[in-house]
Amino acid sequence: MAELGLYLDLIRRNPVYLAGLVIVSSFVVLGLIAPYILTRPEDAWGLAYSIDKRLMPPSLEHPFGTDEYGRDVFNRVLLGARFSLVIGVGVVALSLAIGVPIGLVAGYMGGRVGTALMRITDMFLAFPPLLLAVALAATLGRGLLNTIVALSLSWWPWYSRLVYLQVSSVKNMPYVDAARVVGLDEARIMFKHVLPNSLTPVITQATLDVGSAILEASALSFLGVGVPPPIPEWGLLVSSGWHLVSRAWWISFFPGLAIVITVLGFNLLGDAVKELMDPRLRNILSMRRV
Amino acid sequence: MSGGRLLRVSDLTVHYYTAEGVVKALRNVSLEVDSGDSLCVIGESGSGKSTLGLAIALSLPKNAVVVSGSILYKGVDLLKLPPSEAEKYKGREISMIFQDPATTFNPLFTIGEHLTDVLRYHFGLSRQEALGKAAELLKMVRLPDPSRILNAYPHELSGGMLQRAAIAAALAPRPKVLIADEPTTMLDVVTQAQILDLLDSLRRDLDLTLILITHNLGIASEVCNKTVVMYAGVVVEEGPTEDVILNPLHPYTAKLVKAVPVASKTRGKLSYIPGALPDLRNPPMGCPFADRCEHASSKCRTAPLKYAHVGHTRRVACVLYGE
Amino acid sequence: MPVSREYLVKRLVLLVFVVLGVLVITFIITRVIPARPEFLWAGPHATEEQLKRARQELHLDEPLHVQLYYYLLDFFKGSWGVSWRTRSPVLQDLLTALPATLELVVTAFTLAFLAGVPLGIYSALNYGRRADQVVRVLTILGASTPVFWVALILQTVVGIWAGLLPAGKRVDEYLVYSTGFRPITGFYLLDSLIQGNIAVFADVLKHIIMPALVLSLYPMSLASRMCRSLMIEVLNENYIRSLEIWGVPRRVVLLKYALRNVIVPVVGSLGLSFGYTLVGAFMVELVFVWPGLGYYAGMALLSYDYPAIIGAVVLVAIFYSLINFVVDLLHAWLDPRVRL
Repeated sequence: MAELGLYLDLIRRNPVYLAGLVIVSSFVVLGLIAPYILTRPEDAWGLAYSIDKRLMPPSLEHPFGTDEYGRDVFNRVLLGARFSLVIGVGVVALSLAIGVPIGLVAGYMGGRVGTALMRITDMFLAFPPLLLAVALAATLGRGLLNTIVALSLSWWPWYSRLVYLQVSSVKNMPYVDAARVVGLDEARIMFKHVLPNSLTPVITQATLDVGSAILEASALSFLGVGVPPPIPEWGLLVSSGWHLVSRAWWISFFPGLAIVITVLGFNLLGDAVKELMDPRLRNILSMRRV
Repeated sequence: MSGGRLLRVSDLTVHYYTAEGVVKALRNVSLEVDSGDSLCVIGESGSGKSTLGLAIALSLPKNAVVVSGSILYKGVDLLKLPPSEAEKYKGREISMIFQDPATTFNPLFTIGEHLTDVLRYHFGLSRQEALGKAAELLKMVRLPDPSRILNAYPHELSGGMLQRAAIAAALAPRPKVLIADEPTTMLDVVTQAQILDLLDSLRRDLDLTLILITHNLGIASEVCNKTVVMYAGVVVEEGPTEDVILNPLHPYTAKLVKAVPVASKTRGKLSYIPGALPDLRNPPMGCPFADRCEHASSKCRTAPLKYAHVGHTRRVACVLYGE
Repeated sequence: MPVSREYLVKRLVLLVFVVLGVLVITFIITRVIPARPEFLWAGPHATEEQLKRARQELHLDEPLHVQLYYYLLDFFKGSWGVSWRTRSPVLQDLLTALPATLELVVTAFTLAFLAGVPLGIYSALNYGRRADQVVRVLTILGASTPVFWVALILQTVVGIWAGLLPAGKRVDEYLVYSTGFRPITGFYLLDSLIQGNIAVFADVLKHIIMPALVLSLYPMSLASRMCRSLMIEVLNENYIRSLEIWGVPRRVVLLKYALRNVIVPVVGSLGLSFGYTLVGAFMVELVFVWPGLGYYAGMALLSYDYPAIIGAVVLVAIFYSLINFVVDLLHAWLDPRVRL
């Protein structure tokens, strides 16, 4: 609970961190309930066309305006939150599912096996971020699942490495030796002792990576190799307004703004968590208390 | 030996602000150092001895606050000086070396660069002149092959060599006082003896005043003429080293002396001090050692610490010695 | 100071393996994963004939290791396929477009570091105070914005609506023609200066500033954050404290010693930053119609020009490895501890 007190101090010092928490929670809630609170679901899901309502600028009735098919942009952006949530969580979850076991085995077994596994991991890391995803996405074709898979396949090496480093150091800790001396078998040690202690930084990182996943997915969609229309993914929405941007700026502007705010929220939260972990700041923070 | 009072710490109280609370690291600490002394500050971890050293060297970390007290050096209260004035004392008057020689030097720069920068900024020398002086300094600390050392990076040298180089750097500006915070703790026994010997002879040759911070009584007995014993942020005993060790007054000091294992033919139990340090976030009102002391009375726990003078030279904070 | 020969050789060998690894992975992606690779390679409008020929050319009926052999052979021969969009060999297209991208990326990178490093250090020195908070939020913002969106906004507002700067392309073709400008190195900024052609220089500058600025946002934020956290760490190190205690003025300790402790790891991370920037260039070049690799790749993606996409990916990946190799050497040169 000292943590909570410190977190509140942190927020008091810099209220922007509160924004991080608020944004992320709002995003998650929105993402979950979006399909149920749409005012114009046909527009959002891309099922309807209204020729007479095309390219209308933002107004009370259409807060984000309408696009070239007469669809309400606000509804589309709102539904887009659901897809962003799905993609973000999906990518992170799949990357963890692939990367953590590999890193765990490599780190725990060490030696030849460990080095070999890490060499393979490094081969993937030889690609700049996103590039591998682009190649994969182009090969697999457009699609929601394909996008998640493409991004995960380019992301898992980072987690693998992180876990590997953690496990390598944790397995040399005294309490692991103690467990061995007491007579626990290797598998048990791995799961009950090594794993939990190695995973905390990875899990924290992963939760905050959801934001980056959303950002990368939007880039893929913008480039035309991510999610296909009419799915209202934010990146895709931005690109759909691209050719009209000087006349109907709202089509590209608002979805992009949604991306910025959401990713900003995750990054702010991530920063706040890192600050909390930093012992020096904790000291200075408590200085304020007295 | 003593050439008059050089340094006088009075009622120094320093608090650290940490995530777990405010640690009252030093509480009303007073001591005096005469010119030419070699003073040992003895204590276990958490006794506040390092904080004391950093305070005198005007180098406390950002989360430390001097709550009260003064540090009079040649009559000037160092704590009241504005930063620009305080700068002038650093190196020139008071210098310091640290426990871990490996982290004392910047890994990206050679020893020579460190030394020449210290020299140039104090004496305005040219690079060539500074290099020359640096080589002399290295010889002074008994390092062979100075030119190799000057061109070496810290990771290329052993702990002992680095510590000598640190001494050279610390003494380059010709300070009057050298504070050595556990300078040998990270070194092997042989090197330890060499460094101590070096410090002792430098003290004599350069007319230095040495403040040696350590947890090791053996070191104190070898090098220091005066000893101050600290426990949990307060001074519990002070006096000439020989007297303090051979005839300890404070129960804590006595226990410390007894705890030093002596090699002998007969086996016995290792003596130790039961109990643990008090929590410095909430230090006890009276004597901090009361809970571990066999002579403790209720008065010990409640009455504020008072120092009794025993003879001309000794001081002890214990009710056993009257008021 | 100099790096040992063993280190150099070690790094070169590593580079070779990395490049091979890249090729193997792209092989797996392009030949093994797809069920019918010839469809991808011959294009959506391919006839039966063309598909059959594609299968032959790609040796798709032969065992995998044979395919890999021919794949590597093709790579080193330089036959990277033909782009459907431009109808010319992919490698040729890529190499023609490369200098423009390099010019853009180098400019962006320079901006990023010139602004990012001082910003990060300034932030660290004001740790916890208002200035620090502001910089931190700005850098987080910089790392959260989608490059393509900022590009679109800037282009629309500054380029189209306000007309202050050209909205796209690299240079005014008419100006090139009328002043007789000739590309020498492929880097127009350099070439125009060499030829004393100030008009073209100013023109290219006007064209490059928006895309470079947009592209620099992400690496600038990264650099700033890294410098900030490094500086904070370094300032707490014993070796900074010891110099101060020995009396070296704070200014010197900061500018000479601490700065290097900060810059060296930053240099080490240059490679990764570069990677992000390269991919960001895809989107920036697309939006600003900057005739470089990124534009080529971006157009390839939009038109499903598979050979061109893969060619671009491979080239960028190899380039990335090269950059990392150079950065490693640079890092070893700066940090004596690395040269083992």
